[in-house]
Amino acid sequence: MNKEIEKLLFNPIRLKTISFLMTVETCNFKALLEITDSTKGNLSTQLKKLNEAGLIKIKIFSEKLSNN
Amino acid sequence: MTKEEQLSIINDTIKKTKYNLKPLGYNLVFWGVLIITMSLFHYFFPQIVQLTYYSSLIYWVAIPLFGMVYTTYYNINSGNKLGYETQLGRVIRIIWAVFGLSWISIVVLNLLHDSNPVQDILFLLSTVLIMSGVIIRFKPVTFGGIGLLIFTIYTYYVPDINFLLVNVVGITFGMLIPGLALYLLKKDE
Repeated sequence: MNKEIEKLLFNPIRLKTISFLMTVETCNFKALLEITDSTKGNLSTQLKKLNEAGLIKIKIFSEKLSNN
Repeated sequence: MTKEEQLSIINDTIKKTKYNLKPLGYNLVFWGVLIITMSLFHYFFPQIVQLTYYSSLIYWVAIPLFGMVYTTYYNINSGNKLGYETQLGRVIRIIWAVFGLSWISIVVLNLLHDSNPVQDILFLLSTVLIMSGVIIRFKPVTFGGIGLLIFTIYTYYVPDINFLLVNVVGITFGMLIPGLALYLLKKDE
């Protein structure tokens, strides 16, 4: 496994996120909060890192629905 | 975090992914009740439904179209509540969307050829039910589809059969009863 990816997935929140997203087509922020047992701030930070690494794709639909 | 702990996290997270079977069960029950009610109403009150040449056509196209709009709204809502869509859910959604489009095509084609679409629709419905049942691994839906397929083939060999009663029998055993079994199922897959 790529060392950088291995390092990235060492964090339990990121590992849970990737494991879950591998089994689904799409998922919103609220569902990920429940699955990862994380806080909004922490999850946002981890998702940002995964997005920057190109492991996930984030779509923001609107300001009101930004948690999607 | 050790390798074992990582594997345990992956395993636990994957187990949390469930395909929610309730919406499919609800859809089958909704359509089952709607089609059976419409068929029985048409059977007992033909003077109302067949008031003019086009009235029965409007009856059999407009009401199911409203049903399609309602179930689409219901499915979007239940998907939003769950918060994610599994690969299984996507496959089922695509299959039923294609069925909806095919249903419209069959009605239009039969209208142009001045023939009754009931057998064609039931034939298509039975194949979609079998596919859905096999995909979600739920035997009542699979067997309901197989029963409906056999029943539909049988109707081709019975002359002067009443298609409204064919609808009632076929939909009850092929769609309503399996749908109820699915809707009342407590466990998700």
